[in-house]
Amino acid sequence: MSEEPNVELTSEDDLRALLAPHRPDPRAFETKVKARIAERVARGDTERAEPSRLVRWAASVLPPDVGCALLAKKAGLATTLVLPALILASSFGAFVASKRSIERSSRDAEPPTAPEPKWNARPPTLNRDLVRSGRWLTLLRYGSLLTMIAPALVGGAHAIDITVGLLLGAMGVLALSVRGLASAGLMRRGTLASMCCGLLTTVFVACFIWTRGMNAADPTSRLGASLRSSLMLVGIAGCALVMLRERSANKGRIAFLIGWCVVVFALFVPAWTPARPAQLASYLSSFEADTGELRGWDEADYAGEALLAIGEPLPNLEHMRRAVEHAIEAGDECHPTVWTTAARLDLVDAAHWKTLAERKMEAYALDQLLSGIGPLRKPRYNEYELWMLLATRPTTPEQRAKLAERVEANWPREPAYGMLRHAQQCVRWWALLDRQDRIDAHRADLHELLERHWVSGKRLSLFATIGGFTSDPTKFYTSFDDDTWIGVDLLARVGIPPGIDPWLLRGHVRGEADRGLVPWAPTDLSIDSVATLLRLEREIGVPRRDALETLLGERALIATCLTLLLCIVAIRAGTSRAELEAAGLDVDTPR
Amino acid sequence: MAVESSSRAASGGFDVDSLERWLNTFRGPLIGLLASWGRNWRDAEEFAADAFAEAWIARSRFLGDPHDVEAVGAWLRGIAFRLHSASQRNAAVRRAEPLDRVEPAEAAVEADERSDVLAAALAKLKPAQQTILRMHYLEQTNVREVAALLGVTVKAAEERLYQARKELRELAQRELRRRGHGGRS
Repeated sequence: MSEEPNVELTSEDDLRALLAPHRPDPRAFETKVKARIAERVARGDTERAEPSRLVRWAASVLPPDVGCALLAKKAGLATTLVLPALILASSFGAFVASKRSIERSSRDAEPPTAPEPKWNARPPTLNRDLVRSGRWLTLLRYGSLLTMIAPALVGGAHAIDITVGLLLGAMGVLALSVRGLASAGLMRRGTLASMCCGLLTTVFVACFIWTRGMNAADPTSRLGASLRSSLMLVGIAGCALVMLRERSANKGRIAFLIGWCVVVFALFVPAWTPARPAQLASYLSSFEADTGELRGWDEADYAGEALLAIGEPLPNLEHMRRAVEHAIEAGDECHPTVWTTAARLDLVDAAHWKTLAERKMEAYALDQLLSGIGPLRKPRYNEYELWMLLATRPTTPEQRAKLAERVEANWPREPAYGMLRHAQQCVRWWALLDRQDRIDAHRADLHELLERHWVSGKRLSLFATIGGFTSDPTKFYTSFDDDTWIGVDLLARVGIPPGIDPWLLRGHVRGEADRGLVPWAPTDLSIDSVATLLRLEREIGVPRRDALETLLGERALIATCLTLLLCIVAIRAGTSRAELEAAGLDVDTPR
Repeated sequence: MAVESSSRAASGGFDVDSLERWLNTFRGPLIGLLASWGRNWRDAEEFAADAFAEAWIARSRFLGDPHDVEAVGAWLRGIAFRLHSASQRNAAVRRAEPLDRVEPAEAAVEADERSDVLAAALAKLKPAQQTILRMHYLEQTNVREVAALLGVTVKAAEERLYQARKELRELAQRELRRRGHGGRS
């Protein structure tokens, strides 16, 4: 210890004597520790209990993803497989039962002699089935509330099943309504189309119109919420066209309905535009590169890094290079983010690094890197210092090893806000120092950290956006874009741990990537998510799904298709205007 | 004993000696560290025992070299912190088991004025300084092990220890003067 000779310190003997009463007996302590270990081993509380024989057998015959989920015990058997399968089977069951009911109603229907009711007016004769179906329809309208609170009821990962449940209810309402209309002698195709149009609009407003902004959008679906919503709007427009042909509503109302569909499609239906490297390249090419402004440099970094990570060429960044070089030559005091982005995109050559390193503060920072002691904690935007050091000063292996040690000392060990970002920074510095061994040594820690910061949706939370990563799982159980970028960056380096579902992650990132008003031209708001999505899909790769998993993942789309198919069956079960005219029946349709 | 049989199956350079080495190396500073996190000494000893047991049970997760003091120190510190945090979250703190040895009664502790003054001065030190003194002097552990548990360099630990002793000396002299003695401690 470095004691100055002239300074008197407290005697070590005094300190030892002061703490002596608290000193443990080594033998007793060792016995106690061993007894606790033996106790835990005896009760099977080891590091990780082996899965049961039944679970292992199930995992061996089930599709790989489902099997892994079972073995990892991150999801129960029910939530992994049984619930989606049950819901899918219910959809088919509801469709078959409703179809039979409609066909039976059609067979037993009174001839459509009663005058067709006015558009959007109550039928003149209300039988019991029509009254009941009206009540059920009212209940469906409140389905929107159910979809909004679904994440709190069943967790975000299964919120989509609430939507599927509402679609099943819609099938039941349709069958009941057809039965009521058949009894009332109203089995006209125009009337049925009008009824289907109302039902589909109700279901769309209740369940689908929110999918762009709500967290209940199906995160595991391959085709996503956009196709479901689009199909629903096509169904509504199709019903409107049948109404037009059957002259059960005037042209103005039909035009209004179709116009409504177009507006809703433009504003509320999530766009389905696959992320393309060209989007990132276009963003970089048009980036203004104002070194006096901080805005956009982070996004440019995300875009450039993603392109490099997926092996795509960077666009011509000469304008950015010129701006950065000019700032260095002019001695401009830029935010460190500018230098860090420039370093990562290789916009600074050795001569300009040298010029920058000659500035007083930069030279001091480099000296501190080489001669400093203790944990090396640098914020993300100061990463350029290491780039500058490696470019301007020859470093010995010992100096590099010392830097790696200082980064190691900075490794986040205690739960805190921004732990994931902190860990990413350590990993990045090790990568720059070519110390993959350090990253490998922390692989298990990183997996644990990633799983802890992933918003899986298993925790019930009303406002949680699931599928991404959070900055602090104890305080914010919702996904953040920048933390999701960090999470995907770490996943690319250390692989995906079993507790993270890449499909759910992709579903979340894809939703975020479509956030701009014009999805094919991402803005500052969505460019990070486009970059994240491209890295996830092309650098890491989402595992392929087999037929069973695909089928279960698309259960909401299947239920939507079945509902639309049932509407077609119901409309076709009615008598068309042409048929009535040919038969010489009364086709007066007062409007 | 179960711990011995389980240790035979262990891989990665672990054996019963590893556990004993960890105990001998980190017992004192870990108890001192836990005592600094607000535990009384008895609880700190219990938590330290739990931390060692947890570290041994979960040793398959430890990817470092079991002989590397810094790696093991960081590992133990993380486990101790998690246990400490978890117990703070849970209202029901694990009740301390009776120790095999007889704890000296408070009244039996050497109660001369010198110790009183030092104890009073120690309580006035900055928390980080109290921590390092407790960790180092409870069993006169090497500074290297203390530094490993604290996650700082040996140099930083030595500096902190030096400053703590210097500060303690000054505080003790002030305390003596306050009590009416002009002498040096």
